[in-house]
Amino acid sequence: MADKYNLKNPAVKRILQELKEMNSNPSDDFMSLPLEENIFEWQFAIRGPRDTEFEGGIYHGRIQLPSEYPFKPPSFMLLTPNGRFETQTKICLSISNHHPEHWQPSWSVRTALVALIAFMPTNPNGALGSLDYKKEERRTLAVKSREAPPKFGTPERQKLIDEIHEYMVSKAPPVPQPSASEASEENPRNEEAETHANSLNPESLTAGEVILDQEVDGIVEEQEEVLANANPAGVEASREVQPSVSRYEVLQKSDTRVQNPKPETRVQKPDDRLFTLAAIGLTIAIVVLLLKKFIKSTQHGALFSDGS
Amino acid sequence: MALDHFEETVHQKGNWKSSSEIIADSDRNASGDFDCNICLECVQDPVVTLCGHLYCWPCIYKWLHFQSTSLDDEEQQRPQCPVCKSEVSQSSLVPLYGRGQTTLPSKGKPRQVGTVIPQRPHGPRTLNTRSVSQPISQSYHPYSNPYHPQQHFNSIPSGYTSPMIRTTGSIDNTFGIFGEMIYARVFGNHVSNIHTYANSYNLSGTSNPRMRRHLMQVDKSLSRISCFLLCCLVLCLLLF
Repeated sequence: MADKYNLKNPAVKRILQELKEMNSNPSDDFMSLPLEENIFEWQFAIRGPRDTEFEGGIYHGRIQLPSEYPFKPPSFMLLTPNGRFETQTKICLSISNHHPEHWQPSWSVRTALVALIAFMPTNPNGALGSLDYKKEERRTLAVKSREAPPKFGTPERQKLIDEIHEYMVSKAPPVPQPSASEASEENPRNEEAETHANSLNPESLTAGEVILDQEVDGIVEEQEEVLANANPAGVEASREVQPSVSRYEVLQKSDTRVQNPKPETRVQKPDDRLFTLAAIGLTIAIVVLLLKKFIKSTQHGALFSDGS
Repeated sequence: MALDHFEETVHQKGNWKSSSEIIADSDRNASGDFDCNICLECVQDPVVTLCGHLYCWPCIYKWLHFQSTSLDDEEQQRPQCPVCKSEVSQSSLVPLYGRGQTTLPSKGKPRQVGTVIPQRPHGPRTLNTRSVSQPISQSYHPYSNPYHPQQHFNSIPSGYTSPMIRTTGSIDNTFGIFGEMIYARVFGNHVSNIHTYANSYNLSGTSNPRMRRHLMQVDKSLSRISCFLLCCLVLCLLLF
């Protein structure tokens, strides 16, 4: 097995490290494993987000990691019909290879899957590889997705898909009852708010771990990106924040400078005393000179009277 | 080790945690704070961005150059921190040096046989010394001027003329500027060297910053006293 993978390749080492982390911290929302023959090919399965029409569904997919990973983004392809993304087609998201300019090397397969779950209930807006089915159709597809995993690829890959499906069926809760669906239909606005809250709740529960903090950062960044794409003004706002930070730093520097002159005042006291003493001495000298001048004028008067 | 974990994960179905993995987990959590954000391993040749995120120097170097080449095709944007997207440049990275860090680069070199990666950027200390050296060289000439008036004063102590007044003013300005420089930067070899030369001229070998300030204050007071004396002389002449 050691000869099978080139450990000198940084991409392979990075992928093995991610695999180790995902195995040590498994999640109930998703599971992914690489093929034994090619570590750059992964199979994954995600759970439908809670309180949405996708709840209870188990959606399988495929991930292709590039050879330059993590400096280039992977590509994602869903295999189970879901009503939100097309099957057998690469998905266009800010985390996929359609937008390499938005990718960050600190993101990982784990953060990508969490983001994919969060993107399920969003509006596709005509993005490449996305679909916009009705809620009833999506719910039907969710129920159908639990019954059997999709058929795809080689027997080895199919075996891996079956293993992942068994794990997800045992972990994910079943599709909610029709009464719950009626409640969700009555409150569409609350539903949208709850989806965002629920998507973040599992992460907040485990926020203590450093590894998960990256996921939170990644998701927040992705949401910000979506907002930035929708509102160009948001980008301008982010730019404005930076100069204010620099101004604050300038203020700090000026404060440090103000503190410096304080020692000067203390040192100046003895110099001031010397200065006063010198002034007093000079004043006395001036007074003496004035007295001498007065005496001379008196003598001059005396001489004048003698002459007359 | 990683390969063994990989085999276990492939064959295991329901049980994802074993004793060895628990031990590895505890070890990883303990040292997770010093893992590179890109390769997720114990950091080698560590560098820190101004926003506080830690990377291996080879990893961040690849990312900066990769991002710059890819972004040049579309827009000339500045490289970003992979974690928080703040602006990052090669010059703003700060290296971290620990005990025995010098041996790690030699160990890391075999990894980077294919790619030639330069040495880590220097820390802010080098930048500060460079910035300090320039103003010192600029002020060297005006600083040398006070020597001549000093000698003149020593040779003819009783002579006070109008050129002396002008030289006194220049002395005061020069000392003020030099004092500000000292207050702004109280470190660096160049500063101490020049001050030592000044101290040797003043026949005082102390290099304490407090003593330096005291000397500056004494010079200022001397200039004031000399001005006062000149005023008194003028008054005496008028009265006499």
